[in-house]
This record gives sequence, structure tokens and C-alpha cells, in this order.
Amino acid sequence: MTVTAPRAKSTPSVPAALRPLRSLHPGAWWLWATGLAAAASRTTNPLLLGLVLAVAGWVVAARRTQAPWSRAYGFYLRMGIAVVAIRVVFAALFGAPVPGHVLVTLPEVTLPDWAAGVRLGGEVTLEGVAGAVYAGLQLATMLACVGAANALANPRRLLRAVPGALYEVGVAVVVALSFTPQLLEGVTRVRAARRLRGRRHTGLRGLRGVAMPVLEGALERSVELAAAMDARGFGRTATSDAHVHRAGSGAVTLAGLLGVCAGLYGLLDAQSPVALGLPLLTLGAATATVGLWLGGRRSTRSRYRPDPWGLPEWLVSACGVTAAATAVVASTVSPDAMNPSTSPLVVPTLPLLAVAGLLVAALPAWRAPAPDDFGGDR
Amino acid sequence: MSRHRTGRRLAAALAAAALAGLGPLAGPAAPAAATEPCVGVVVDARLLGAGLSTGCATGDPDSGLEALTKAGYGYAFVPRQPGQVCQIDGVPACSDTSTDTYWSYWWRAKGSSRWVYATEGAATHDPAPGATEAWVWQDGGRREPPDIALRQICPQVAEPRPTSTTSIPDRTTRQAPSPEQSSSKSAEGSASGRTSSSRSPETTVTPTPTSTSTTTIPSVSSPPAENSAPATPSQSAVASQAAADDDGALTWAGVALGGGLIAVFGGAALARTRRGGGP
Amino acid sequence: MIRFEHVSVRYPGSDHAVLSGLDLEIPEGELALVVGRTGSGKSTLLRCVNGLVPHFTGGLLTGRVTVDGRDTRDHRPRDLADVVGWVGQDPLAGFVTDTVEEELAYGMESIGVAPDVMRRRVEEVLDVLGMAGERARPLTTLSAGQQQRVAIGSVLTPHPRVLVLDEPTSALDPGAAEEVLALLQRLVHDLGVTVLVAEHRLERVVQYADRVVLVPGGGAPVLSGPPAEVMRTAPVAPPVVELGRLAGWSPLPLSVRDARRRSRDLSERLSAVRPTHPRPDVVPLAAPVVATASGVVVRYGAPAARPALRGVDLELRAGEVVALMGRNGAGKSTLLSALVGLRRPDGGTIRVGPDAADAADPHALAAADLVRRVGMVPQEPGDLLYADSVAEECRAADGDADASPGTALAVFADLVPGVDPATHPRDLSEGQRLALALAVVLAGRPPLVLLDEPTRGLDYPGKERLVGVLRRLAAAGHAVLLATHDVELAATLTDRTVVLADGEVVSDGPSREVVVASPAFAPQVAKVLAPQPWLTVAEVAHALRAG
Repeated sequence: MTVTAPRAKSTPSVPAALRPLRSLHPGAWWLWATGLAAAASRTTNPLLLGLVLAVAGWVVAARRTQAPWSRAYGFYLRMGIAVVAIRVVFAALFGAPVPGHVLVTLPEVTLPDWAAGVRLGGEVTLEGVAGAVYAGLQLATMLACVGAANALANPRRLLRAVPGALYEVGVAVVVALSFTPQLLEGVTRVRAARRLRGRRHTGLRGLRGVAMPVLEGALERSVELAAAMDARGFGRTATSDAHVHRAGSGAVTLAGLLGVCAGLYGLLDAQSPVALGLPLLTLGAATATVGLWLGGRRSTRSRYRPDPWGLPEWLVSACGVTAAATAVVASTVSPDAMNPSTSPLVVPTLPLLAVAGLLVAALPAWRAPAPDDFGGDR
Repeated sequence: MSRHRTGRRLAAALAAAALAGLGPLAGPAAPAAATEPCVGVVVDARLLGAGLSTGCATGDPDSGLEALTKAGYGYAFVPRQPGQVCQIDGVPACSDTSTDTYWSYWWRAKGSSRWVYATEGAATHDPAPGATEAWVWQDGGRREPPDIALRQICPQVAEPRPTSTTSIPDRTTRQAPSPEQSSSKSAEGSASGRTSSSRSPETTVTPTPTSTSTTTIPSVSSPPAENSAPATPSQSAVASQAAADDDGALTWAGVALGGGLIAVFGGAALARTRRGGGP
Repeated sequence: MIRFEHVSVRYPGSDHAVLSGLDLEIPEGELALVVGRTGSGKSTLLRCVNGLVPHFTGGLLTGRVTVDGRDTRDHRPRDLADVVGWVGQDPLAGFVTDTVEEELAYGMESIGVAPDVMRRRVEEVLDVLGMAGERARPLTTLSAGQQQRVAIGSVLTPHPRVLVLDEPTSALDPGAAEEVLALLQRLVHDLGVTVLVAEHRLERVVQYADRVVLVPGGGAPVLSGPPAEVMRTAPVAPPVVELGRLAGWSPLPLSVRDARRRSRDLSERLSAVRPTHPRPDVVPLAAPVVATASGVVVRYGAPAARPALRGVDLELRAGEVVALMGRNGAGKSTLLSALVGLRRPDGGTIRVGPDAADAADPHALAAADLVRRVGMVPQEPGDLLYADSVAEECRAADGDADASPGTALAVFADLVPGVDPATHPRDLSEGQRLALALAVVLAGRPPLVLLDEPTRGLDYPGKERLVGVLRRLAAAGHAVLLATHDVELAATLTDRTVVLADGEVVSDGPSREVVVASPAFAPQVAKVLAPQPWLTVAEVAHALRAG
């Protein structure tokens, strides 16, 4: 059952290509979320940022499953609120004085001459707070986009799609992801146990009493995990001259990555020669890809039911890219709407082009939900 | 004869001496109208084609920004970095600010003839009365402010002197507008956030044509090469000069539309999650 | 299939060999059970089959271990992954992925099996496990028994010839253990897999074994042979075997059914005698009440969620030993946490104290006060221990409990004689660590002592020592509450048994009555001699001697 927004396109009959019975490749969701985050990074307009949050929330609500990782969005939203609050407090206490309507005057601490540029306390103006809120909201929105991607696509499935050469890195990340909740659970258990011993958990000695059992338990568990993975065949390589291949592919990949870094630097620095920019970037990227492919060849792993990348994935990614592209265009066409001024404080206007792009980004919510919650999102 | 009389003579002599001594301190003679403190402000936008202008901030402004405002200029901050001035009186567009092209801030102490590059931001720096401040648009170089004496910027405040007697042609002067004017002009500016300053060669000085007190609006020799209104990409800013009311309505319509969309999507998301079991 | 030729193993930094001169052969298609005391080298033997010793653990291996013709000297564990499947003690620690299906496929991916073959095998193994409906369940939401089965399935998908399991049922309740053992039976009988299992709770497994390998430890030779032969002289034996030894049956019965068929005349001999526990069954009603729980309700999560405990009433008197039994998830650990004040009950009251007049709510007590009224040894005794040596641990415990210095160390030496006080707690064996945790808790001499699953990982001698300790505690006036799955322990030690199911008390009465009546919780002797209410071999021996 779809909920149609009054202004959005109503889709009672979604084309079959957009309604498959499987879950999407996680990369598609991450591309979509990256597009939204890129759109958010181009604007500080609170209306647009609020719309990004609402669109992301709507897609998450419509498309997520019952799996434990799908509760991430609410957590990231709460983190975003904390970000905004911290920005506001810092701006009020330490920020550059922005003249305007004074809200409250904090006691000012005069600093010695050598710290003359820093201000502690003083007047807190509406314009200053508004500027901090805009900036904080932008960061919070980008965080929320990451949260939306987390809620929609299991990050571990994304790690399954890494190229073969980076497989070990991917596994390390996967294991770290599962270790953290276990570590936290261990801390809870140990703290409970310390109360059983009659200890108060205060001070540095208390920390040692909690940290030691937890870390020792984590160490033992990690050794167990390593033994289990070794016993199941982790790290088998095809040929016996693996070290030669590894050195070669590693060197090529490293050279490619260096090229990418140099190319990015050249691209961002306005004064470097043109050849140092885009050409070097593409050359570096190509070299790195070749290195990864070489490294992947020696791996003998197969993939169990890999997520296919088909038309639905292209469409979802295209929605995210559209949002980012319209935001980029809107920031050149109407920069004052995309970054409304806070000093003086004005009512923000709504750049329609960016809004249209965001509405396109809301389209993935209209895919039909998977028939079985557990079966749909593996 | 008695001590009494000697005492009185002594007191009189002392009083006379005091008066004589204090005389010069009692205040300058009538022509010494420099009793009122002021801070001079020079804005050099010649690299932008907007000319050189000066203004006088009477009184003792608390910060460089306040001096700028009191001298009759409007300014805007870089949207994400409050404190960094990117636009004075509407030039240039804030997106033109970069590491090489920016408004530079200079100080000159009272009585000195040397310009010093500011080591503190305009928001926190408190210019002493008698000092001069300069804002010079840089375009990849390190252009110094022109050498204009304070008394040429800030004539005796008693009679506002029209411009002229300037050694540098096509310099415009400003009077200090009243604070209400400055706030009104900021309120008028819509999305662009810059004051609706008219840079057309005809009008000068107080940006709002409805300026009150200061009578003299010295018509400055309009510099021939002055360009017209700075190119403001935002169409809403252009509209603001023409019809401020229309623009206000459009803005609020946009806000309503944006808020409505947010409410719709957010509400639908909440309803969906509540049905499904909470985030 | 598996051949050990004169194998000796010495770990780095150790001066004695864990295994020496081991010769062993396990033919194909057998279920071999490895028994022995803690620290005797069972785990080492199992890890040799896999190649983990010496490639992963380090150490010096002399001799030769061959599995399906492959020598472990030339093959590392990952090279043997398609021939040997290894399942460790803690299945959750060995999981790499999120869901059941992915975990099953992981092993095959590492080996490089073709995708369509992988797909087919995953379906087959799901059928063998009987978990086809849970294919997409996250692993952390499975029960312990299901997790163990998934762990077995995940090493089964590469179709290994040999399966090696290290204590698979130690953490499971009797029902889940039955499921796992039935699965192993099926593997051996239907699929012809060679299974090598190490287990402490012999009473569950020995009936299924085709071969028993006894590792006495200390360099003594390893015995291997049919179960009935090896069990004749084994130092560790399940109650059924001990009963057989006592009654002189030959060949020794291995299962309850075998024993019942032989027990006719034994039953007749015993029918005239009443069982008398070595301790009096009944605790005098005049003993002070040490803990009271009335109407305790505990909820996890949202108020609308199903409560973990629903109106539990319990009373504990000084000097009694009470067993708390029930399925996994019935609420045993929750009740213990509530009694010790770690969880505030959402309803009802709990009072603990040296007697009814001085009783207080444990949640509201300060930690220093709490430690003098109730002490608990949690499921993971290592959680309590954080110092670098046994001596320092005991010193800290004395300080926390305001006891005279040396109390805790004396209790520990009493429990486990012969351990160097400078040993690091993590280097102790399971039983020794449990004893240290118990000594630490007892430093405050609390009138109420709680233990959560104390016998996990303990071998029979360790359990006997624990039984002796707890009996002495009860004689000294402490009340002891044990949450356990181990029915033999409950039968041997406890006066009263409380059974929890679905958060409620289902039965509460003298152990003899409760335990004998329930098929799931009856000890082997009770099942053999049913309907007579005999619980342990010691009782039977006592009665035979007396009568």
C-alpha cells in the first residue's frame, strides 16, 4: 500500500522493472545516499535540508526491513540533533561576534593580548545562532544520509562486493563491525560483575577493573575467531608463487593510488599546471583499478549468490545522482537561495530546481516492498 | 597684612595659574571641532570597478564592523563563515570570495601614516577614536590602501562638509546614517542579504533614498568608468530593488511550500514506521 | 581416516609435553568420543587433527598426523578445510557473517566451490539441520542450540570427511543437547562422516559413540577402544556406567535403556530399602529465612513486551541448597540478577539478609553492604577477575569485604589445593577459575550464595570438588542457590529444586520428588531405577552396603 504525497507523482502502477522480488544491491542504496549527502553539502538552506531529511526518512520508512541494522536512522537523527546543539553552544561561547539582534549577553572573559582574536562569552545574537544552526543542520543532514544508507542496506553486504584484492581488508572490517557490540555487551556484563564484588565504579582503578576483563575476553574471542576462520579456509591462495604476485599487484595499486592523490591535489589547487589535475587523476584511477584486478586474480574465492546489478539499481542510483546534480546546478544558478545569508537574517527562499531534484530522490520509496521481510533482505 | 590676606592672594594666584594652565585643555577653540571622536573608513573597490569611497563613523564604534555600518556601508558575511566579510555595499557576489580574491582589512593608528594589515577580525577589533580603517578588495595581490588623511575623511562633524578637497578624484564620501536606517536597509534586502544599495552613478551616499537627517547629499563626480549595478546572480535580488513587496510574498510562498513538503514526507515516514514497529 | 603416529606436542614456553608418544587410529565412519580430565590434552588432540596445532597455536609437534592421506605437516588448517570441519566451544565466537544462509555458504566461498554447487549444498544442509525456515535469521537472534547447529552446518557444507567438535553441548540445556547429538548421529549414520567429539558430560554422548579415546593426561598412554571396554577402567564415567560397575554388569551398559534391561534384580534388591541421602533431606523449618522473593515481575524492553519473570515467589533458608532449573530462556539468570540487585524488579519485592528481621532490598544496597549479604558467581567467572595474579585477586577481595587478610586465599587453597598464588587468573583452568571466583565472593561470608551455571566446562572430579565445597557451605549455615542444567549435579547436591518455565515457577519441592517426576530433569540413575526414587550411584552404593 503506497502513501501518496499530494504534490508528488502518484504511482499506482509502477513498472515491473521497478518492482522486483529481491532486495537491491547495497551499492545502489549507498550511491543514492551519497547523492543526497552531496546535495546537502551544497546548501545551508534549512528548508532544503529539512526536505532532505524528510525524503530520506520517508524512503527508509518505506523500504527498510525488520533486521536489526534497520533501526539506524533514528539513532543518526538523534546524533544530528546533538551536532546542532553542540554547534550552537560553541558559536554562542566562542564564535566570532556577529552583529544583530541580541538574544542574551553572556559574561565576557577578557583574554590577554596574545589571544586577542579569541572571544569568550559576550553577546549572543540571533544571527550568530542562526548561522550555527544552519551549519550544524547541514552536517546533521549529511550524517542522516549515512544513517539512511545504513538502515536500507546492510553494510556487510556492501563489503561482500569489494574487489577480490581487498577481500582481507573487507573481512577485517566485517569482524570489527561485529566485535564492537560484543565489546559493549562485555562492558555491561563486567560492570554488573563488579558490583557483585562490592566495588564502586569510580576513578581510574575502576576503569582498570572494567577494562581488563573486557579486553582479555575480547582477545580470547578474537583468537577463537581466528582459529575458526583459519579452519574454514580463510586465506587460501591459488598458486605457490603468491608472494610474487602480491608484490606486483600491490605495487601497481599503490602507484595508482598515489596518482589519484596527486591528481586530486592538482584538481583542487588552482595554481598547479593543468596536466597535474584531471589527466593524472584518471591515469591514477586506471592504474589502481588494474592493480586491484591483478590482485584479485590470485584469489580463489567464489561468491555465493552475489547481488546482481540491474535496472532497479541503475534507477535508484540515478535518483541520487539527480539530486546531487540539481543541487550543484542550483548553487551556481541561485547561490543566495542555496546559502541564505544569516547576517542580516533573511527568510530563506526555496530554489525550485533543487526541490525537484530531491523529489526525484524520493522515488525509490515507491518500489513494492519485498514479500517476506526476512527473505527479502538477506 | 595678616595671614588671611596672604592666603587669599595665594589662592587667587593659584587659581589664575590653574585657569591659565587648564585653558588650553578646556577644549579647543571654536574651530577645534575635533572634539567629537570619529573613526574613518576607506573602502577601495577599484579592482571591482566600483570606485573608491570613504565614510566617517562618528562616536566610538565598538568594532570594525560597527564602524563600517556607521560609515554608511552595508556588508554581508560569507554564508557559512560568519565573521568573514565577503561583500561591502553589494560588491562583489559572495561566491567570488576565495583565497586570492577577498576584502582585506587594514588599520591605521591615530596620527600614523602607515597602514597595517589587520591581525584581528573586524568583529572583535575595537578601533580607537581617531584611527582609520580600510577595506581593500584584493585580486591575487597585496594592494595597499590609498593614503588619505583622517581629516579628509572625517571633517568636523558639526558641519558636514561636502566632498571635494580631495586629492584623489572620484571618491565618494558618506555620512553616518542613523542606526534605524541601517537596520531598515538590512531588512529590505531579501535573499541576497546585501543592502539594496544603489550603485548607479546617480545616487550615492546613503543607500536608502529615503534618508533623513543628513541633508547634504554631495553629488559626486560620477566616475565615467564606473560600472552599473554589480552583477548579482540572484534573480530575487534584482527583483528586490524593483518590488520589495512582491518578493516578500514569493519568499513566504516558497517557505510554505518547503514546509509543506517536509511535513508531508516526514508525516508519511512517521506513520509508516509506527505501523511497522518504530525506528 | 585419522592416524596419529607417535605424536608428541609441546607448547612454547612449557617444560612438559601435553601429549607424548600418542598412537591412535580412527577408522572411517565412526563417532569417536574423546574423554579425559580438564587439562589432559583433549583439546590439543582435537586441534592436531585439524592442523591448528602447530600451525596456529605454535609449539613443537613430533610424529605424524594424517587425515585422509594428508599430512598436517604439509597442510595448514586452511588447506585441510575441505576435509576437516572444526567447531569450537563457543559457536558465536566463530561466526563471520550475519545470517544463517551466509554462514553456511562462507566455508564454501573460502574454498572456491562453484556458485551453483554452493546453492545446492546450502539447501541440503538446511534440510539436514532442519532449519530451512530460519535461513535469513540473523545469527544473534538464534537460541544456543540453534547456533550450535548452524556452526556444525557451516563446516558441513564443504562436505568434509571428518568433523571435529570441541565440547558442543556444554552450554546447552538437555533438550538442545539432544538435538545436536541427534544431528551428529544422523551425520554418522546417513552421510558417513567421521565425527570426533570431546565432551565432559559423558552421560549424554557415550551411548552414541562407536569408540572412546581416553586421554589420562600427564604423559600416560592414551587408551582407545570400544566404549564398554574403555569405560570399564576409565576414571571419568557417567552414572550409568558407574552403576554398572557397582552392580557388576558385563558388558557395561552405556545408555539408560541398556541399564534398565539389566536392572531387574537390582531393583528388587533395592525395593525394600528407602533411599537415605548422605545428608538429611529436610532442612529444619526453624532455620532463618535468608532471602524472600514475592511476586517478582521483570520485563526487558518495552512495557508491552513479554515479561521475563511473571510473579515468581521464592523463599530460601539458611543451610539449604536449592537448584533452579529450566529451559534456556526460562528466566533463571534473570531471577538470579534480581536476587543480587543487578536488576530492579518491575513488580513485587525482594528481600535478602542474614534473617528476616534484617532483610533489605538488594537493589537499594550499597555495593559494600551487598557483598556481605549476597554473593553471586556469574556465568562467566572471568568477569569478576581482573588482577594479575591469584594472590592479588584475593587481597582485593579481602579489602572489598572488610575481611581479615588471607581469608579469600585460604578459601581458594581449600577449594583447589596446589595452585601457585602467582598464577595469572586467565591461565587457570575452568574449574580453578570458578574456584577463585567463588573464593572471592565468599570473602564476605554472605549468607546467600548464588551460582549461575557453575558446571559448564567442569569435568567430573571438578564437579565432585564443587559438590564438597557447596555442602560444606550449607553446613556452615549459608543458603546456596544454583541455576544449572546439570541434572546429575542437582540430584547429588541439592535439597530442593525449583523449576522455572516461561517466567513462572512450575514446581518447587524436595529435589527427590521434583526431579524424579520430570523426564527432562531426571538423572540417569532415576531413569534406570524408575519408579523407585533413587537419584545417585552413591545412594545406591550406600543402600547396598547397609542392606
